[in-house]
Order: sequence, then structure tokens, then C-alpha cells
Amino acid sequence: MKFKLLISLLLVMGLVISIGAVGLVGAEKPKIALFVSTINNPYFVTMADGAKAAAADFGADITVFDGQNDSAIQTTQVEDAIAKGYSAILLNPTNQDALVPAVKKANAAGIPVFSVDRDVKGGERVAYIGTSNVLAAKEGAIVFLSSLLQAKTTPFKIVILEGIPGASAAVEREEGFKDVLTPFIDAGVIQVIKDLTAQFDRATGLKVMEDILATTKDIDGLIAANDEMALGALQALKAAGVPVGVANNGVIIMGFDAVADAVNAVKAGDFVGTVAQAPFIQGYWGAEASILYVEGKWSVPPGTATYAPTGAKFIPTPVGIVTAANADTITSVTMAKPPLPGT
Amino acid sequence: MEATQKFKLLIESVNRNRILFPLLTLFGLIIVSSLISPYFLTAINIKHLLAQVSIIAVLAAGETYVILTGGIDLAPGSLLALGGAAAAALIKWAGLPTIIGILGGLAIGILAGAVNGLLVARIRIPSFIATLAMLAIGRGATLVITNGRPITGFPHGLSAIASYVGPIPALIIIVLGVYLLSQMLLSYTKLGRYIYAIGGNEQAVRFVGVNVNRVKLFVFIFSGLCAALGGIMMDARLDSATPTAGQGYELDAIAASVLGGVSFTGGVGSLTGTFMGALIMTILGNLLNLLGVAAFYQYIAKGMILAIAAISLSRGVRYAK
Repeated sequence: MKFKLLISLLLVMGLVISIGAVGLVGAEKPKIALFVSTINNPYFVTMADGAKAAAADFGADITVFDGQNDSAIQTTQVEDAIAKGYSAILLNPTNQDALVPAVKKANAAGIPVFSVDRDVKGGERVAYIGTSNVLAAKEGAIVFLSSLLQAKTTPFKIVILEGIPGASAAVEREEGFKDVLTPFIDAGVIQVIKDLTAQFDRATGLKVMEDILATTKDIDGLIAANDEMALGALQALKAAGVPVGVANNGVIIMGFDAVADAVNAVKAGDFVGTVAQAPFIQGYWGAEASILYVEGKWSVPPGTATYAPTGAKFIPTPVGIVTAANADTITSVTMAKPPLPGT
Repeated sequence: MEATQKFKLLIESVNRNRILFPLLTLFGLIIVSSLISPYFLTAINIKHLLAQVSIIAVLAAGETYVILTGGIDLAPGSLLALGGAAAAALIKWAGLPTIIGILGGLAIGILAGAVNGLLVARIRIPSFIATLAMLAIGRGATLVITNGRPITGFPHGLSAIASYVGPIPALIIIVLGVYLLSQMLLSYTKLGRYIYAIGGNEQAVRFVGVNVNRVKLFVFIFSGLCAALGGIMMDARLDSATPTAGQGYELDAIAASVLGGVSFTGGVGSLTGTFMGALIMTILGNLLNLLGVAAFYQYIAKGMILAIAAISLSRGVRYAK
């Protein structure tokens, strides 16, 4: 018994000493912790890739934590990271409210926090680096509208497919679409045939579009809050023999997210475009800003606007629209490393 | 006098199979739908409806078998995705012939169903828990196979499954085939009678010397097979296999069974009823979309119909067993 106790004591002591030693050695390089909401979505995998690239470029150590879309798990991860003494925290929160206490704990420990892609609603953040869904949706709606103006005659009869009711991405993208389209709807230039949810899901997009096609085939345009729904709807349109794309004088389809299938649909002429947010740049800028901030070489540039919904200093990452003109070269835009504002 | 006697007998026979309420609900819904939407009874809408009901109906057939034995299967949604993804990967990535891919996808469904069956029958884990585990494993395996991304663009052989024979979707022909065979199995074979009997009184069936474990293994294998078939049908319909396909479909399959008069405690119900249940669910969603009802209210409307139907069905259940 006593022997066992001795061994475990020795082991524990060894562990404590080695942790201390690692801490002393690691003090040279900034240690950055990136917390992504889930690694189960290619978007966040690309974000982590961007952050790792910046860490390599600027000589820092980075650790990526997978929050598994669970606020409790992510909170624990942040708490553990505070205890381990990271130099800065890059947070892609699973939830804008639930992670506030974790951010406050990091503040209390004096560790700077940067939010990436999504922000939290409280605690001190040095900056929020991401794309506003509202702004990105506005840019998509503008391209959609100008395509309609070029190819169709007024009034434009359109279908809007919304995301999961109540999900923040769905709410914000709808807001962006409506900001652009509502004046034209009120003026009678645009006629909304149906405005329905398809749950961000391809099979539901197919079903909803089938239901709509039973009421009319006279559709000029379709704008969807994500690519999956638009791809399902495309399948329904094709099965019903309704022409799609500008070349066929068919339905003008605008997607969102620039997933691989949607980029292919743009290349094939089925989609007129899809909105590309830049997760790589978000990850890259997030890591770059936090590393340089820790080293005292970067601060939020004066005159930076505030992100109204959460009150953080907002550094917007570029939004690209994938169209037939740039579909082959879009990765050179979305995977680029444009200069971080303030450097 | 004789006519009323005959009518009474007819009603009684319908009632004994518990399909009177589903039948009335279905006809009521069809009449109401055609009255409030001029688009409901159009050729194109009926064509689409039959294609839409197919996938949920095929899952519900498997689910009904399991519920009839007094169990529950929560895995069909995930196994739909897994079977669909496996078939898609074999065809698209391994370059195998379409028929081999389809058989491979079905085999995965059978295998996963067999694991469910063994966990429930041999190891005696409650079916709710065993299939809950399979729900998670199936989804995870799908993500591993697809690498989290959709597999898109199949050769013509697979998409032909979602084509139309004249005005009739090939999908509904497959489903009617499945229902015909599985209803015949239920009605005219020993195995079918055992399935009902186990749901009625498992202990008694064991005492008579029936191999209850083997029957239970069969129903879960059948459910897994149905789910994988649904996945392949989904592949054909979407021309792609998405890793998130079928999420929550197990609940639709359960709801279709219950709406169709299948007793949750087992032993009572029929596939005819389940098919009507699936039709009720599909028509309801279709009608709400035709009318352009906003999403928030669609949830409430669907829940209320389900609750009302369940209330009307629950009457008399005490005497059914």
C-alpha cells in the first residue's frame, strides 16, 4: 500500500515539474488557443487551417479545440485553457450567450479574447473578426437582383427559401435578403410567389420546390439562405422540366456558402452565383491579430466600426460572390492572405 | 335491413384492423385540402405527393414491424443516411457497377439492423436504448464514409429509380411492392402471426416454444433493410448522398405508424394503416406549402393534427389488448 502511494506521489511530482518546465520553455513563443464550435463542418475545418497557417507564418504555437457544438463542452475547454496559461484565446463560440461567462473568466485572468466568425454578447473582446451574415446576404441579393434585371422582365416572380426557423444564420440571412429586396417588392418590381423554410436541408429543398411547382411553373428567380436547399430545389426544377440558368432563359438561382456542389452548379450554368464567406481568412486574420497583439505589435486600428448586435470592435473579412466569371479561380480569393487591417 | 347489417359488418371489420380512423382522417384531409387549395388535386401535385410519401413510407414499414413486437426503432434516419452514403461511395468512389453499390448499401442496412436485433434480443438491452446507440453510430459512420461532404452525381442507373413510369413515380411502385410483400408476410405466414403475438404477450409466446429472439432479430433486420432502401431512394431523388440526410426521419416514421393505428404497446395495427399514416403526414406538409403557411405556424399545425389523431386513436385501446 505504502509503496503504491509513494509511486503515485512521485508520478504526480514528476507531472507537476514537467508542466512547469513546459511552461518555462514555452514562454518564448506565444501560445494561442483556437476554440471552434464544431470540427464536423468543412467550414470550420478551413477556419482552423487558416489559423494554423498564420501561426506558422508568425512563429506561434496554436492548439485547436473542438467544441462539438456543445456550449458546456466549449466552456470547460476555455476554462482548462485559462488554467494552462495560453497567451491569447481565439473563440468561435457555439452560442453567443452561453459562452459569455467563459469569456469573463478569461478577462479576469488577463488573457486577451478575439471572437472569430461569430461573436459573443458580453465580456471583453479585443475584436470580432468575421463576416456579418446580414452584409453577406445583402451582397448575394444584389447580384441576384442585377441578374434578374439583365435576364428577365418585370415583375420578377421569385421564390425565397429560408433556413431553420429561429437559427441565427437563418434570421440574419433573411434580414440581409429583405433589406435589399423589400423596396422592390413594395414597388411591385418583385413579386414573391412563396417564402418558405426548407430547413437548410437538400431533401427538404426538393420537397418544398415540388410543392411550389404544383402552384406555378412561372418562376423567374430563386434565392436560398444556403446552397443545400438551392441544390434540392434545382433537382425539383430539373425533374419538372423547368429550364434553369441565364443561358436557357430559365430560373435564376442564387445560393449561399459556396459548397463544392454549388460551385459546380455555377460552373454548369445552373446557378447564377453563390455567396462565399472566407473561413480561411477569418482563421488567418484571427490568429495573426492575436499573435501580433500579444507581442505588442498590433492593436485595433482607430476608426474601426462597432458591430451593432454585440458591441464589439468589428473587423469584417471579405465576402466573395462565386459567379461563372470567377468560379475557376475563386479559391485564389477565398484562400488568400490579404493584409490584416491595422498592419 | 340486410344492407345495414352488411354495412355494420364492414365497419366492424375495418374497425378491428384499426384503420377506420386513419381512413376517415385521410379522406377528411383530402377533401379539405382540395376545397381550400385549387392546386391540390392537380396531376403534377399528385405526382409529386406520391414521390414524396415514398421514402417516409418505406421507413415506416420497417418501423411498424418493430412497433408491432412492442419495440421501437430510433435508428432508421441514421441508417437511411448510412445505406445511402455506402451505396454512393461504392458507385462513385470505388467505381463499382450501380447494382453492386445498391446491394452493398442494402447489406449495410441489414448488418446494422442485425446488430440492433442482437442487442435487443440476445443482450436484452431495451430497444429504445440499443437503437439510440445505433442512431449515433450510424450518423458517425456516415460522416466517416462521406468525410462530411455530399457525394454528388450518379450514373443513370441509380437516378432511374427516381424517374417516372408514364405519370407514376418509380419510387411509389417500389414502395407498394415492399408494402404488398410485407403485409402478406404479416397476414399469411407463421412469422407474421408471431410478430403480432410477441407484441401481445411475449411471455406466453415464449412458453409455447417459439424462438422469440429470432423473430425480434428479423424485425430489426427488416427495419434496417427498409431504412437503407430509403437511403438509396433518397440518393436517386437528390442525385446525391448528403451526410445529414434523414435527420429526424425516425420520428416521422413513428408518427406515420401511430397515425395509421399501430398501437405503441405492440400487437395491434397493420401496414395498410401505416401507409395511410404516411400519406396523412405528407399531404399535411404539402398542403401547408401550397398555401404558403409560414414555418412557425407549420410546426404548430402539424403537432396539433398529430395530437388530435392520437386522441381519436387512443379511444378503445384498452379493449384492443
